[in-house]
Amino acid sequence: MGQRWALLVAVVAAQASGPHGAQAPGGAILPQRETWTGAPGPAVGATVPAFEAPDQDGRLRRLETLRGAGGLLLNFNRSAVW
Amino acid sequence: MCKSQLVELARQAAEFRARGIEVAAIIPEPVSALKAFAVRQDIPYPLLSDPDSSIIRRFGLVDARTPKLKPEDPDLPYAGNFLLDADGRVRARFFEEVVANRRTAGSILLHQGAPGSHQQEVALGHAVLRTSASNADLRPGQRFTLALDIQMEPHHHMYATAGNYRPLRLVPDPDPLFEFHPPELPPTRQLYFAPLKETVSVYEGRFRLLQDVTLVYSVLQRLRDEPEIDLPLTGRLEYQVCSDRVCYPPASAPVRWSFRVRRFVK
Repeated sequence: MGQRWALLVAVVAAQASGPHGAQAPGGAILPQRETWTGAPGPAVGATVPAFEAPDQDGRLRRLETLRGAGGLLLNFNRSAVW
Repeated sequence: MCKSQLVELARQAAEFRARGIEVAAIIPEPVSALKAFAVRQDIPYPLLSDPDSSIIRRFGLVDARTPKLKPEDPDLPYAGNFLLDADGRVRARFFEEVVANRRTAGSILLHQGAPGSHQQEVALGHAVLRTSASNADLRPGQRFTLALDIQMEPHHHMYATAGNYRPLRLVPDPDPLFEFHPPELPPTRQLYFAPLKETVSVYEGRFRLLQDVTLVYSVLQRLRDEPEIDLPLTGRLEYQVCSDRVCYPPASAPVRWSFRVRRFVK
């Protein structure tokens, strides 16, 4: 938890600082990392646990092969029924 | 709202893939339930079945705020998104404090620098403002993002902090259906203005202001008699432009977005 706060403070400081601190090469603004910190689970900067699970077609999928060259948007959802 | 989130994610999946980012969802339900939904809603990304919630528990994401109806029901996760890098590290997390609220995938894209939809251009004095939004279609409880992209003329700037000048600020018109979150402001530069011997925080060149907004749940009442409604979001952008030599008066420009609001996905 302490580590997460430290990271968050660092990100906020980077965004609030001068001309170079908050800008990625090419001039893009660093995207926000987190808005609500109340949810548990892996923190920003942490590596998530490996897993495998069947998809809707019954094919077994693993975290390593789900990721693209730019990463993965992993959504945790409650239901596809109700 | 859960199904609505999966459907909205389906619409944005191609945009994520164009950036090399794959999309997947983990759901505590059997494959058969996920299959039926994926076919009906034409879901183009993997829906991963976690019927005993073991992955949700391994991630430490069990949400005890929602009581189970039956003891054999699966543990439900905090509903949200992790943006992982190619090595599986968390680059960003998007969770909402209110149980029923969901951030749109479109909002996550805008925060990664993607252009918004429904772009409109407004000429300001010595600057051009382009407004856009993360989503044109909204459903109750969704958190979306407004983008204001500004291109200054060379040698001109706007102000970041109050004082002798009017700082850049989006002022939305009050509307009980919208909850406005703290804005994400662009990086500033310290400018020394020799004639007045003052140092001020300014925005120059090209920059972007992002405003997250939640369409509050009570919009459902408006959707009782109609399946969908058009909802405008209006306000003004306050600013002041100065150049290296000349300061122009404080100004404001009207801004407007329009959204189509629909009921939840059945």
